[in-house]
Amino acid sequence: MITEILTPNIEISWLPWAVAYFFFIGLSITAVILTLPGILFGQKHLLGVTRVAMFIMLICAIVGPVALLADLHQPARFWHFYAHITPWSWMSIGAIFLPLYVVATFLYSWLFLRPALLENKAKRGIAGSISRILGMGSWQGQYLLKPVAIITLILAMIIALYTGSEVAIVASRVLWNSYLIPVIFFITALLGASSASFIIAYLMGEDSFTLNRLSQYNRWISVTFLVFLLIWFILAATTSGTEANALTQLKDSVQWQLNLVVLIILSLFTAVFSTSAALKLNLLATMSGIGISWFFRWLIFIDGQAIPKYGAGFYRYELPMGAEGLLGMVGVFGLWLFLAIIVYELLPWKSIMNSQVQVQS
Amino acid sequence: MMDKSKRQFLNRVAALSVGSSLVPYSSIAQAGINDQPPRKNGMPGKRWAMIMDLRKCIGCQACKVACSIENQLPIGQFRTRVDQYEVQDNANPNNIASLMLPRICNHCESPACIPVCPVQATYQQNDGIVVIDNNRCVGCGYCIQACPYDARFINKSTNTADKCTFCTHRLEAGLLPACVETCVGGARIIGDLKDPDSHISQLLKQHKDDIKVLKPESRTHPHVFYIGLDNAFKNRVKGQSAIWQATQESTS
Repeated sequence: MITEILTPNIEISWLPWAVAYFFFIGLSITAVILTLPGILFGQKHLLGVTRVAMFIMLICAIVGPVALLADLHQPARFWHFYAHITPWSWMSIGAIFLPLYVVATFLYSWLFLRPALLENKAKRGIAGSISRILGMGSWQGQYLLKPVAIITLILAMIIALYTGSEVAIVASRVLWNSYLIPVIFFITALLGASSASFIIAYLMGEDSFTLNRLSQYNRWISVTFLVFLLIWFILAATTSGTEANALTQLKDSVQWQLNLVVLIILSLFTAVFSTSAALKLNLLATMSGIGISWFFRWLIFIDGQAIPKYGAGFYRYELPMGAEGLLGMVGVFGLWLFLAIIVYELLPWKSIMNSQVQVQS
Repeated sequence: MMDKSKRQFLNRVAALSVGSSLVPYSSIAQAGINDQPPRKNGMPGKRWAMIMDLRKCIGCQACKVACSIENQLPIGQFRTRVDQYEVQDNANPNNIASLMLPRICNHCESPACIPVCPVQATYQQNDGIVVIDNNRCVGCGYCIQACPYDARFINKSTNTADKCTFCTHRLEAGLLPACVETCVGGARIIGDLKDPDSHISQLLKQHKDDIKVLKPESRTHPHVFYIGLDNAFKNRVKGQSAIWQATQESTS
């Protein structure tokens, strides 16, 4: 029997900020998909879903990169990414495409909101002034909406590819080094985006059609998540790949058993109660959907870094109270809320439905 | 080399934008981790490596102290360390032995840490030593994730990645690394593998049946060689974590 007598407790180097980045950028890129049926295929009855998903896409596309910057230990050196482009590193590829994606989300939501901005130009007060500034002339730009939607989608998929691959290629981390990681990241992000869209739809007073549609999405995405969790376990039990190594290392840990139970309970809760007749249960189920998206990333990054690469047992991680921990996470969600309020109040999210329906018909 | 990089980059951008679903995923993922950028600087014509002779290490941690002083590391952060294990014979519980396991950056031949760096701040010298340009490092921590040996860390005073350099500044001045110089048992031997007459080359030849590296399956080809390492310690230690009892895994 071997007993470890002296070994250091290795600290994590990807902080909770990394969890926040992958969470917000994941929500943003998958929300792009939810916006598309109403835009690309002229499904006017889905414009409600488009509106709330677009809102999520936009706010998360701003908050995500802020969190990413905070995860750098030398944030002021971010320009080094562009001074020393490194095409063989996924992170460098990401640094090129991330700003392009953020600009695309701005352009996409601006073109989507523009019909309402043009209508509001004559209004008095702040709404009118903002519409006159952001309207940028009175030219008709609706024909640009579809091409920009497609460009945003392509960039979003590149972000999905780079964020997933960046983690999946790290051979030294048993829990990361799996082809399933990019896929499960994508599924849990979609669940988060659809759940967050439900809550925004509820707050914006969307009709029951939109709410029902989003709760259907939530139900089936959480079932898909469970299926992929099962696939992971089947791979771990039947192959000798990294999934099998991860299972061997984690199966006797009470904490990891608990983690898994929590994930399964949350997914089942979302799957069962998303479409319940009681609105309160629906809202709880969507909260749980967002929770899965966050919790999965937390497990992979924070708990995943506590699995020693060589030593026995686990490293210990305690959430710091300051900017590298709790305060930082409260702050980043506070930033989300602040931006959401500002963007909702200053831009014509309320009147855009009528304007878009008119423009599209 | 620059042209090759450009070509690879353009190919990859084309692959990404034309339709990622059409490109076999594995080919992209491999390109991200297997490419090693060209080596630069260092002492040409040499390949530095180290032997840890476990028969001679007494676990005094003098190497750790000497390294900390030489390289001016923040309190509590170390480029080298000596892990200690207690090994009990299952058949005869009274038979107990200790193992002192010096740990350091392995200055691998195919380092996993280098290709992931997004700004090429970490690179391999022509003499095989892996170093970090901490004026360029952005502190993203990606190399720390990629290293299979937990040899890297974020230096709390520079906020950049940090690791053992084999004291390359001392080697270039004709001196031994601080840890080697201070080792009371002479357990650490550094030398040039390209010189067949060097002490390290001779020792590798003499002990060729007992030379092991840590985690050989990670295919990084480590260049820190161990004499007297039991197979139980070649890969991840299956044992009891004595420090954090609350989260210990099962013992074997």
